[in-house]
Amino acid sequence: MEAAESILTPIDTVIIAAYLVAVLVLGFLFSRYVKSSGDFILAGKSLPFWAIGMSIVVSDIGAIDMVSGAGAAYKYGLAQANFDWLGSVPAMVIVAFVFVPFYWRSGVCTLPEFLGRRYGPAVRFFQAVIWLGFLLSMLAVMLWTSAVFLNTVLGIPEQTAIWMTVFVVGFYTILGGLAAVVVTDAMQMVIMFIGAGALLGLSLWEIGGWSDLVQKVSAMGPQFEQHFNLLISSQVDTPYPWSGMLLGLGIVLSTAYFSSNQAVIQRVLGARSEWDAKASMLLAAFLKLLIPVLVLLPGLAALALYPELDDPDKAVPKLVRELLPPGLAGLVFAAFFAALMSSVDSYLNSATTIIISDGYKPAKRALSGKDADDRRCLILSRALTGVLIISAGCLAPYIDQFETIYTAMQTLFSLFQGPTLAVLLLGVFWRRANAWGGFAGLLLGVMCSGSLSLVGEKLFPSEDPFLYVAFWAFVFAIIVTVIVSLITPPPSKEQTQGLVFGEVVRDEETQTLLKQRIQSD
Amino acid sequence: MERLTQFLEQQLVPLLKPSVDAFHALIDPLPPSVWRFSICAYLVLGTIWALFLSRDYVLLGSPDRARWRDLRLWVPVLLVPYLLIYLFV
Repeated sequence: MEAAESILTPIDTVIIAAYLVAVLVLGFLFSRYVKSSGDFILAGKSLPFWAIGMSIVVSDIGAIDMVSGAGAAYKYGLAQANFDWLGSVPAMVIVAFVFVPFYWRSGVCTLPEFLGRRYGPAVRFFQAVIWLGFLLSMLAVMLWTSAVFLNTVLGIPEQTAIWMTVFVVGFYTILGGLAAVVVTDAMQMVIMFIGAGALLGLSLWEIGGWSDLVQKVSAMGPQFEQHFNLLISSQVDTPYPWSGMLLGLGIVLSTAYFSSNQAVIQRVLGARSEWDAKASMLLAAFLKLLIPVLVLLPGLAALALYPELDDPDKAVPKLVRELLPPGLAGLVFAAFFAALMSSVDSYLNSATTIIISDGYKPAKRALSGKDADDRRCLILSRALTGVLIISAGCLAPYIDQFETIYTAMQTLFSLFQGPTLAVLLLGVFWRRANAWGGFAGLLLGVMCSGSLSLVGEKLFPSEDPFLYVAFWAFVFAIIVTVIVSLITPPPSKEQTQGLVFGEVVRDEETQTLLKQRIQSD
Repeated sequence: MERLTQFLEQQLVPLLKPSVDAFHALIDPLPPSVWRFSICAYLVLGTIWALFLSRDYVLLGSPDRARWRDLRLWVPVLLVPYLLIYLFV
């Protein structure tokens, strides 16, 4: 994309500056409450359900979605909305009533920690590395997407945009930890909804309303016939066929995302009670209903207004440049920054937690035989947060080799989501699953995902078959885990105590044991 | 990477293609009404399952036992808009 002259008037600049200052001040205020690593990583278990619910939504819908999500709607149409609709429920309901109570009561902090206790250190290490790689690459992708957007619309040099974001997000995340992240997220969700709503309203006003939008896009030719269909036939060449949406997204990817994503797990574990943790997931599922309306419809509106765009990802920048009056442009940019920062802070905080919980603490215990000092963990968490965000800033300029950022992200995500869900489900619900089974299922499952991704176009009836890849890799990992577990010795009762759903949720003796363990931790 | 892709295309694709094609031959010709029904059934099953959970289980950790805190009742409220979307959009 080419750089452009800034469209911001002084009033827009004041609005954006006021918003950024408010975020920095909030981060500074929350630094007072961070006295231990528990305060930094889990907000001292003090968060109410409404703040967590709002935070889960904005962490999930970042600046990438505002640009690339609208771009995908421009290119593929309404089917893109399934990622927020079918991709939220019933997965979030299942996670609220199954995985949230399970994680809450078993006292684990991260998914690798649970899988490590259940399947051994090899699975823990493998999962931690996978998640860390994903979170770091996502951080770089987010920073780069935003830099491109800011460069296109405001003419800010890409490097300046990256390092500005690094500074603001790094500042409040390092100082305030998860509490600052969640509270700023809640504020950012309100700003994001207002800004995105304003952009949608103006776009529809310019077109003449919803019916004119449908009419204009439908009249553009046969290639736009499917643009207002939520479900698309598997016989049409599309990356979003209905069967892939149901099997790959609805059953595998969405359940995997909400049950294993560190950003989600960490938030619900920071809740002030188990009820708040469960309620936050249901509230988030309800709020997700609005996301396609606010994020994807501007993409369709851009198609009706500017059908000649060579790159779909230019849809939102074009609307912003052409339609927004002074004052409102500042608000929309504040919304964009909100979306960007809420995702970056979440991934940053999660990556730090994984390194501390699954790297530093077990290594310290193994090497010195003692638990890590809490004060040192807090200092290390803050230092790591700084190192990670700076590393992501350095990595960001090399991310632009991806053809379409959003697709690249989804493809990367689908590689290990299916196998992870398979070993997680079997670990939680099947006592017979053992360390060999878990390790083989995860390793071979990821290899299966990778292989299917490489030959997917020749194998599946879709131009980008990541949904089918996720589903079949999930099925394959389940089969491998079951077979390998059955041909190797079963785990002892001690090895699975407090790690299987029935015991954790119903067995009183186990629950007492777990409570004691959590208190001593 | 190219050599690996070539190898997989020669070895893996012929092995899996018949099963994958059979699966898609079964599922691809289904009419749109079946697509909608499948997705709505998936949503409704989730709702029914949640409604059968015990009250004590969903209220654990709640500061009081007020009716609105019963999370089972949140599920139908949450899922109805989604059902309407998948039935009519």
